[in-house]
Amino acid sequence: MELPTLPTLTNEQQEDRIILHDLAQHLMARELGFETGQIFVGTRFGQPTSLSKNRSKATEKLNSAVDVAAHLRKRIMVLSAGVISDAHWFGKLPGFDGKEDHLTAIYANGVMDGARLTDHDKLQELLIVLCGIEREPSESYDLLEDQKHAIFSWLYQEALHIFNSFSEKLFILSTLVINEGRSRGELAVSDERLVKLEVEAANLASKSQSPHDQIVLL
Amino acid sequence: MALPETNHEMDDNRVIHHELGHWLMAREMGFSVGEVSIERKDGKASGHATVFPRAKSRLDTAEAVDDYLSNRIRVLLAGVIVEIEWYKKTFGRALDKKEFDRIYNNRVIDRSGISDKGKAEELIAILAGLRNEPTTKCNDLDNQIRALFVEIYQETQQLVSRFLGTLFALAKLVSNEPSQNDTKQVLTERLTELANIAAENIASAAQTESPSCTTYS
Repeated sequence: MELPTLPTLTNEQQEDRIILHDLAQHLMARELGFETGQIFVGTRFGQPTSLSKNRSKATEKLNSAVDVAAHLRKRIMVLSAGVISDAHWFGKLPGFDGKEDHLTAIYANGVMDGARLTDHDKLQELLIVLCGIEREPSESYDLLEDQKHAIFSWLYQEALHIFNSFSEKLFILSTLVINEGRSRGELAVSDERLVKLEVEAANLASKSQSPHDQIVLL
Repeated sequence: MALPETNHEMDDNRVIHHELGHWLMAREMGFSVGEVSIERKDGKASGHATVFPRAKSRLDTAEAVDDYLSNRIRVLLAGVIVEIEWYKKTFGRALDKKEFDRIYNNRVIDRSGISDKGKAEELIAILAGLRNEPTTKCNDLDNQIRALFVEIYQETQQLVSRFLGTLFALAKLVSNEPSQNDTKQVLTERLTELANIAAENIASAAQTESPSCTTYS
């Protein structure tokens, strides 16, 4: 199936998109109990690239397959937050009339990290492991794809639920981060600075009726 | 030191070796494999080896998960290991650390723009959670990941050395396969056939070279 074409983005738009993406994963990671680090947007292979450290390391030793599955579910939800934010970002892009199948295109053409990997690429690897733990193996690759899809859909909805709980703050926070100073064209915002900006974003969000209005105000 | 200069033909050859590294290691690790394709786009060679990673049996213990992850990481690392062997063979010298880093970080990128490094690191982070006590320091995790990487890399090197002769012979056969519109696509059946021919050639060459090893009954 041929995916619909996404609009060509300027470097500035791409940077804004990455900031929202990385912040969404940052907030989701923290909600799920992972440690978080700085937000870092740089340039690799001539393109704006997400260089934020986001490995979601295990907070306790994984002693069993059950532990690994629990860890993977949370990691998948962190990555899903990036996909959800990306869909939101495109949804707000002026002149872009997103249809349902655009979500698949956005998922397949996600924000790239320094290793040129997208959330989609990472999710595919992790979902195979999670399927191996939670489902009976089958000779059929179609069945494996169905299993991966079912697990992903469930976790995506779980992630969406949490995302919605902080989305208003996230959109304001991303505007604040976009306005932070750059050094040699790169944007690095430390964890400490993010905490301060997050407080500011939360205050602004509490005064606002809708996230869209708030972003316009800012 | 900068990496040795390569022309188009050498570059295609390098990519063939890299992709066959993934392909043969995947077979060794018991994963199903598909076709291998090499294409030239915008003057750059890139390739893709179709591998179907999946658990053969239920991953119901920590050991089973560890085993699957290790095998999958070996498949991902085999490409770069073979590529380094290709440099050694082609230019008659080993690469220094900077050259190695350049290959590991930037070289062969497959068709969908995925580098093996990122995938391996994503999986090694889980392996670190299985094998090591958790750490609160980011640098410690980096060190754990680096140590695990080195361990699995060395294991993979050992495994690659077992089929490297066959791989070089197979790469020669694959490079002779026809290309169309700057793309060489070798389907699974044909690749399996060529792999068998390469293995037979290596076996018979070894027999010719070491007659003293022949057993008589």
